[in-house]
Amino acid sequence: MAEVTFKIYRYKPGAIDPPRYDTYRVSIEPHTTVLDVLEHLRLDDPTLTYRHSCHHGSCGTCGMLVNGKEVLACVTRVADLKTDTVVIEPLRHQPLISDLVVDMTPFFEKYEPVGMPYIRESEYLPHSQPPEEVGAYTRFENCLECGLCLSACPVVGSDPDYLGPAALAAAARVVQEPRGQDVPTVLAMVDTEEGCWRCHAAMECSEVCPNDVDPGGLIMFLRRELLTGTSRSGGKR
Amino acid sequence: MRPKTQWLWQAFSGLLLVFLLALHLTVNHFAAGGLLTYEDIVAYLAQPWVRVLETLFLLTVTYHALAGVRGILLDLNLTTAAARRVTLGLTVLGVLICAYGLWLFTTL
Amino acid sequence: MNPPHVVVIGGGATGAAVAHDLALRGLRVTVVERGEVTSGTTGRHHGLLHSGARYAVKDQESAKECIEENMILRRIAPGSFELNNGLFVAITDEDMAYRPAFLEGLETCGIPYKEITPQEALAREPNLNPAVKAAVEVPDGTMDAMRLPLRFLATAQSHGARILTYTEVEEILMQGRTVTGVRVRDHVTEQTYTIGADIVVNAGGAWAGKIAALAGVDVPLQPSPGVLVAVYGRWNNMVLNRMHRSGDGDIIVPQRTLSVIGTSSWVVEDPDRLEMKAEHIDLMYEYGAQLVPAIREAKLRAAWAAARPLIGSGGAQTGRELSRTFKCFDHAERDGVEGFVTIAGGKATTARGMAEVTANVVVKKLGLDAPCRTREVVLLPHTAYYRRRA
Ligand SMILES: Cc1cc2nc3c(=O)[nH]c(=O)nc-3n(C[C@H](O)[C@H](O)[C@H](O)COP(=O)(O)OP(=O)(O)OC[C@H]3O[C@@H](n4cnc5c(N)ncnc54)[C@H](O)[C@@H]3O)c2cc1C
Ligand code: HEM
Ligand code: SF4
Ligand code: SF4
Ligand code: FES
Repeated sequence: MAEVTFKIYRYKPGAIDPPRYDTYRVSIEPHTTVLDVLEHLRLDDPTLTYRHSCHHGSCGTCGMLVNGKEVLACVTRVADLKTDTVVIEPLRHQPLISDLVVDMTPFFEKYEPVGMPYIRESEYLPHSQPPEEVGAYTRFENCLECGLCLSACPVVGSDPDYLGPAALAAAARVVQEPRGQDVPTVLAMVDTEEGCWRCHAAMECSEVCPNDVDPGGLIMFLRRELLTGTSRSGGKR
Repeated sequence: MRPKTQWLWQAFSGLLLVFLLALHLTVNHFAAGGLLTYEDIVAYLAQPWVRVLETLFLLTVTYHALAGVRGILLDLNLTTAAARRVTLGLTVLGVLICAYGLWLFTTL
Repeated sequence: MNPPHVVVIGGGATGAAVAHDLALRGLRVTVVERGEVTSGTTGRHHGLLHSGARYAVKDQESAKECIEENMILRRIAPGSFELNNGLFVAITDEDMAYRPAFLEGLETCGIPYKEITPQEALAREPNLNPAVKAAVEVPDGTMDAMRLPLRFLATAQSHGARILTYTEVEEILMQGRTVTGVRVRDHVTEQTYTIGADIVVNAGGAWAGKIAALAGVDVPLQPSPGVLVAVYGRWNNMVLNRMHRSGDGDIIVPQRTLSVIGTSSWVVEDPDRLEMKAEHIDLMYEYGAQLVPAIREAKLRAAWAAARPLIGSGGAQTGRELSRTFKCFDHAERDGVEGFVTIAGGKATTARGMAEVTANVVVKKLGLDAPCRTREVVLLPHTAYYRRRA
C-alpha cells in the first residue's frame, strides 16, 4: 500500500471561482483506479463532482485529464501511472460545468445527426453458428461517446465548428455498415470544409481513444471513399 | 474550390515537390559541390529546360506552401469574411512571389 | 390549472422509468439526482436483459416480471440490445440434477426456451466448456446499463420533465404528517433551495432506506453488493449461464468488446461504503472458467462493486436468499405519512413495470384518471438526452 498525492482541479461557478487545485493524500492498493480515488474522496467531500456510471470503460462518462493525458478514470490504475503525484483535470475543448464535469451537449450536437445505429454485427468468433432466430450475432458499437478524442484534437481546440473525430468516425461506420441509413446523405455531411477535410491527420484522437475506434484512421477512410467514389455516392453532384 | 479538390491539389503539388525539390537541391547545392559563383548560376539558368523546371518549382512551392498556410489559418474558426480576406491576401502574396521570381529570370 | 408536480428522487433505472411514465400521463415531473444520472447502482450492473430464467425455480414472481418486461423492452427500445439469446448449460452431474426443476420452472413462468444438444451448443459457442452435458436456449440479451435509462430520461424530458443532476436531497419537507417537497443542495453552485411537490417519489435504490429516514419512515431495504469483472474480448456471443441454483460467478455477459463475469453477493449497511473485494476478482475468473475455460487467459479491464437494493429485513447473510421482486410503498397507508411513495427492489430489466405500479399509486393518490401508456410508446434514442433544452 502506497500513499499518493492527488491534485484535483476544482471549479464551481460563483462558488469556487476562479478555479483552484485541491490536494489530497490517499492510500492506494494495486487495483485502485483513479475513479476509486474520487469515489473515496467524495465520502468526505460530497461537493466533489465528476461523471461516472459503469466503472468498467463502457459508458464513456468518466473521461478526464490525468497527468495531462486523456483517459477513462475507471480503467486507469493509479499504480500504473508510476508517479507519486497525480494531477486530475477536466477534459479540454468542452464547456466546463463544475470541477471535472464537462457539458457533452456540443459533442452530441455534432454526433447525433450522423445517425449511427448503436448496434452492429459482431465480428467475434466468426465460425460460431448463431441460432436461427438471431440470424447474425450483434454487439454495441465501439464508440463510448466519451469525448476523449475531442479533448486531444488540436483542430477541435481552435475551430469549434469542426465536426470532430467522434462524429466523423461515426459517419465512417455508417459507410462501412449502413444498416438502413442513407450513405450518400452521410457522405455529403462530411464532404465539407468543416468535415473530414479539416483534419490534419495529427492522429492524437486515435492515440487517446479508449476503445479502438481509430477515428483518425476512419477519417482517412472517409477521404479515400470520397476521392475514389467507390461508395454508393458515385455520380452525385 | 471544393475542400476535396483543395486537398487533392495540396497532395498533388506535394508529390510534385518531392521530385522538383530533390532535383532543385541536387543541381543547385550538391552536384559538383553546388553552384557557388554568380557566373555558375547564370550559366545554369541560361539553359531553357532549367528555366522550365525552376519556374514549375517556383509555382508549385508557392502554391503548396500558401495553400497549406491557408488550411492552418482556417482552423482558427474565422468568420466567412475573414476567411475570404485570408484567401485574397495569400493569393496576392503568391502572385507577388511568383512575379518577383519570374522577373528575376528576365534580369539574367 | 397546472397539472400536479411530482419530485422523483434518484436518477437510476427506476427513477428514469418513473419520470417517463408520469410525464406521459401528463404530470409535471422533476428528477433530482445527487450525481451524474445512473451513477448509483444502475450504471454498474451486469448488463443482462433478463429472460427470467435465472429466477425460474426459486423466485418465480421475479421471473415472470422479467420475461414480461423483456418482451416489452424489445418493442419500446429497439436498437438498444444485443439480442443474441442466452444459454443455460449443465456442466456437472449436480447441474443435471437441477435440469428437470429448471425446465419445469421455465414452463410455469412462461419463458420460451429450446433445449439444444451439447454439440449444437458447442457449434454456437466454440469456447464453451466441452464437458457441457445439456444446454437450454432462452431469450436473454445484453443491455447498455446507462443508455437504456437515458432513453427513458430523454423521452420524459421531451414531455416536459426536468432532470436536475448534481442535486442532492438533504431534507424532506413536511407539514404535519404530509410531505410537501424537498430541500436540495446544488453541487454545481453549492446553493440550497426548496422544490415544492404534490407527491415525492423515493426511487433511491440502495439509498432508499436513507432517503425514507429523512421523512421519518422505515423501509426494509438490504443493500447487497456484488463484484463484477470485465475482461477484454468477447469469449462468447450469447449470454452464458450455469444451469444451477443462482450462485457466484455463474454468468458471463458479452457486451460490446468485453465479457463481464459476475457476480458475488454479500450484505452491507451503508451503500456508499462498498469495499471492492480484491479476492473476488480471482473467484470470478475461477468460476467464469468453469463455463469458458479460455477466459482464464483473458486480460482484466476492470473490477468493481455495486449494491443491489433488495427488499428484506435484517438477518440476511448473503442477499441470495432475498427475492429480486420489487415493492411500492404508499407511506400514507403504511406509516401515516401523506404525499410520499417509495419504490425499491427489482431489476433494471423490470424498471418499466416498477414505474407502472408506482405511477398507478401516484395518480390514484392525486385522484386522477390517467392510464399507463409506457407499454406502447417507443422511446427516443439515448442521444436525445443531450439535446439542448430550449
Ligand atoms: C452486481 C449487480 C448486478 C446486477 N445485474 C443486473 C442485470 O444484469 N440486469 C438487471 O436487470 N439488473 C441487474 N442488477 C439490478 C439493478 O442494477 C438494480 O436493480 C437497478 O439498477 C436499481 O436501479 P435504481 O434506480 O432503483 O437504483 P440506483 O441506480 O441506485 O438509483 C438510485 C439513485 O439515487 C441517487 N440518490 C441517492 N441518495 C440521493 C439523495 N439524497 N438525493 C438525490 N439522489 C440520491 C443515487 O445517486 C442513485 O443514482 C444488478 C445489481 C447488482 C448490484
Ligand atoms: C517533399 C515534399 C512535400 C510533400 C510530399 C508534401 C505533402 C503535403 C501534403 C500531402 C499535405 C496535406 C496535409 C494535410 O492535408 O493536412 C501538405 C501540407 C502542407 N505542406 Fe507540404 N509537402 C511537401 C513539401 C512542403 C514544403 C517544402 C513546404 C513549405 C514551404 C510545405 C508546406 C506545407 C504546409 C504549410 C502544409 C499545411 C499543413 C497542414 O495542412 O497540416 N510542404 N504537404
Ligand atoms: S487526426 Fe484529425 S481529428 Fe484526429 S486529432 Fe488529428 S486533426 Fe483531430
Ligand atoms: S471515438 Fe473513441 S475517444 Fe472519441 S468519443 Fe468515441 S470512444 Fe471516445
Ligand atoms: S465510468 Fe463508464 S467509462 Fe468510466
